[in-house]
Amino acid sequence: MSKQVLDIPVLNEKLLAQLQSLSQNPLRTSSWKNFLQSGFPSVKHEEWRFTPLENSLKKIQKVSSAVPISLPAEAEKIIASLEPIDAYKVILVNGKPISNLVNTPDGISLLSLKEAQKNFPEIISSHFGKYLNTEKETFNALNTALTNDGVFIHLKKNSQTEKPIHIISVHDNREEGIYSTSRILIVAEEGAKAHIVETHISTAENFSLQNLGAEIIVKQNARIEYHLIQHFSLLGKSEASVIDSRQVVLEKDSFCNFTTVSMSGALIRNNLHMLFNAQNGEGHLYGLYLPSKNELMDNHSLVDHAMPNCFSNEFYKGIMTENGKGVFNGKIMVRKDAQKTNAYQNNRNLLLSDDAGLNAKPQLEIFADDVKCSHGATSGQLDEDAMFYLRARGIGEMEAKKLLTLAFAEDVLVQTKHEGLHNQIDKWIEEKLSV
Amino acid sequence: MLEIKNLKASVEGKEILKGINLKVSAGEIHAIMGPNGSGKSTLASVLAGKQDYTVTDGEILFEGKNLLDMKIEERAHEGIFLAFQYPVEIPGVSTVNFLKTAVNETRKAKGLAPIEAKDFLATMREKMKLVEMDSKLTSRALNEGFSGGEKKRNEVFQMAMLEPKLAILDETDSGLDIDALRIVAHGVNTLRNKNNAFIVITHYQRLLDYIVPDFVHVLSNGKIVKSGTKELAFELEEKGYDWVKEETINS
Repeated sequence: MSKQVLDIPVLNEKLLAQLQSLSQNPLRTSSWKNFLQSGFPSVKHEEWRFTPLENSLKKIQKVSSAVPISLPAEAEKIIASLEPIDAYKVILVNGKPISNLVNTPDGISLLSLKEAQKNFPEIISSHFGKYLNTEKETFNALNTALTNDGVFIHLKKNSQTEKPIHIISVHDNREEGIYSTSRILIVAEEGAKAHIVETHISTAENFSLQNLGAEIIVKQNARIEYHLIQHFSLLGKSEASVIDSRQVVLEKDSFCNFTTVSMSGALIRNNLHMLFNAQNGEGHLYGLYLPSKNELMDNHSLVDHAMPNCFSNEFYKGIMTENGKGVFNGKIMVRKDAQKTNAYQNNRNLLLSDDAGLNAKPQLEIFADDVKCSHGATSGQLDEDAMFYLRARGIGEMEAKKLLTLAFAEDVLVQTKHEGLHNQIDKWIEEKLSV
Repeated sequence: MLEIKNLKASVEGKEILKGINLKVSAGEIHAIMGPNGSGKSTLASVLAGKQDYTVTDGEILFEGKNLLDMKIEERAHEGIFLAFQYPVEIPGVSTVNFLKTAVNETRKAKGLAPIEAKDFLATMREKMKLVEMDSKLTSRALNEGFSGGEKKRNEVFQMAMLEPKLAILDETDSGLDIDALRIVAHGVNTLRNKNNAFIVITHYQRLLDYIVPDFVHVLSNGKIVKSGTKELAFELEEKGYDWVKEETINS
């Protein structure tokens, strides 16, 4: 049998030490057991074929401490440079919230998971760890075993925010080889409505790896707009990496629009899973990834239609430059009972260099007979006729490339429906293409 | 202004232009007519710098400078404008943003500062009137979903904005109804002056009723086989291209 598991004893020891420093509970213990059983996946593992982890894992020198530290000056600088989003903000450093409770309107709670355990014990116990699969997904198991803080957002029944909630997650990699654990739990009760933005940045050039686990529960009639932005090289080339696993659960008549924008990062793996847990749910998954020099961005999504009459639309676009590598693996599962499902998937890729690479794998597994599903994947270069047209009007080659690339990204970005964010991302793309 | 000497060009090893000679001076309008496949559009593309064509012999001088040494955008900066036979649809790029970039890139090449936003808008409004273009079109993606007539008017509108020295109109009349044709021709006639020149490529004489050429050339099988004044166009209309072809063979 081929070796599907990586053997890194030194790292396992460090992780075990971290586990032992935490208070024990049954979920932690069973998750750790699951992690030990599965181990870290090698490229022999089907879901990790194009995303080698060994070199990254070997660079881990230290497991981030459980105690929240203050905001590094580098992070302050980057945060100040971000397009200001008028929002309720919470700042995390290596997965742990550093700011105190934010004043939010009635019905909206934004606090650390630790505080939430005191203030919302019932909600935590009925939701935390209930959705992320810790049996099949080794990083979820490890995350659940080592989580001791994170972000908790609770939206009361029929609550609404006029401003977005902004989670700024700082990956502090001023020291080489930091491994950190981050955890997010969001519960939108019946009829609640919110826009959440999550921005990941790093403070230095060193390698770091974060294991992030998030559970997002959207109850009956609730609506969530979510923007996840990963941009680690804002201060200069950064080796910060992340394995981001999310489970979105959609209840009856609920809605979620989840957009992932991966701007920069040495290794980004997004496992976005959306489960339709009741009828009439509507889910959108949009993604934009721009791997450039020595970057690998892997989007693994699972849209799980477990119940009838739901609608899902997945649309991901990749822009690969230099020797950047993109991976898109989109699985749509339509279970036996999920009649009248509408599920669409589209993945389009732009390869702007001969050294760039892409692996796309759409997967449809349909067990119901009355469904509408489609998928498509394309990859190609910029349209030569369009390039000629722009240049014939006096637009230089570089500028023409930028215009067309931004245009390519536009139909994903238009989904942000937030002008400030949209402009910010446009500007970042231009910067990335100007290098 | 423009001097083409013994120009030969091929695509994928097949020779399309087989020795073109043409001189265009400021203030002139030249019409190039010819049957399908004679090389008319190839000539336009080679002038604009399209890379699908390989120039195998000859030279093109534009105001004394070697055009063939210039990049596509440099030719545009020098004042060459190609009005496309099939303007490309570019989703995601708004017409106004595209034009602003084009104007500013051309200004940059001349060492000028970017145009003031209000000046740009004022010029745009004025030039749009010239081709009776709906202002809604400029906020839409470039040529996307434009009708045939709208696309051609957009070409002339861009020409008006960029004020080229030499404009090449590649079958601008194809797919136009008579009203659109009049509007496009009116645009061209308004823009013409003693300092600029036009090369009007067309299959039919019809356009030349509206844009009156100083010279008419007949292109056949990659060569200019006959040149004359506007009367030549009428003769062609009457007798067809076979007449020129036969004449060439006989001579």
